[in-house]
Amino acid sequence: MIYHYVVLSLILFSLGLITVIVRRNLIVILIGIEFMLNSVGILFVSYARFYNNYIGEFVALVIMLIAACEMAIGLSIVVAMFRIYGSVKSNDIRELKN
Amino acid sequence: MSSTLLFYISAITAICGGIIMLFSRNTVNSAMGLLLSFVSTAGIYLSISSPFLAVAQIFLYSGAVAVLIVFVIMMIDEQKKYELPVHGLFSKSIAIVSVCYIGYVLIDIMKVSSGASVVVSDMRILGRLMISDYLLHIEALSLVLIISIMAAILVAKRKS
Repeated sequence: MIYHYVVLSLILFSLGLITVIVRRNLIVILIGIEFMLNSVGILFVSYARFYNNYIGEFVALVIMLIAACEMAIGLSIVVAMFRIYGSVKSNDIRELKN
Repeated sequence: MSSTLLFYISAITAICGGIIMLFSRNTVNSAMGLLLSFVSTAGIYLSISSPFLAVAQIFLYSGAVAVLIVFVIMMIDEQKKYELPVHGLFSKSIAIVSVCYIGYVLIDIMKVSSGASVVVSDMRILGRLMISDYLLHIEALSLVLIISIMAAILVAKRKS
């Protein structure tokens, strides 16, 4: 049964990874990162429950808190970037290229 | 509902949320796909009988993170339109079904917490771990939270 949870977590992780790679909107990229963190949380909790170990649940809780912090800082960076460049597309931000 | 059926329904809705997030052009729809996937993840946590994490998932992810994302999308108004696409009959029925599903999941949480037949994850052990073995981690997390709040305010502040 735990195999199903691992496969689900893999599918969700790859969906998030594809979102990060393919999409160009910075907010959608952040959403994809959040999605990947969520899938890792599923993996931790399922292993913790199947082996009756509480450390995995604690780690999932830590992941949730870290994801909230990451989201706050990332979104504030997106807002600041929108003030500077007037856009949230990752193609438009190429200051370091030249 | 048996936990296997709950797991399969939640897994399918989580994957559907991911596909919505990946393929929709509108940013708001992506955020809604993320929200659907978060609520489904709460259902998955319930299916492995871990009700505390399910409630924490709904509160923290669906309550804080998804709302934060929608607020930021509203703030930076790129396309000058951010109404939710809840106009057609299909969308309305999907909305009603998902609200019923969330309500069912919440009722199921209470059932799982009070039922004695399933081996439910014991919140007392987790709480005791948090204040004994992992006290340092919790304190470090509180520092991280404070610093991230200050950093978010500093970065997003308008330069005067």
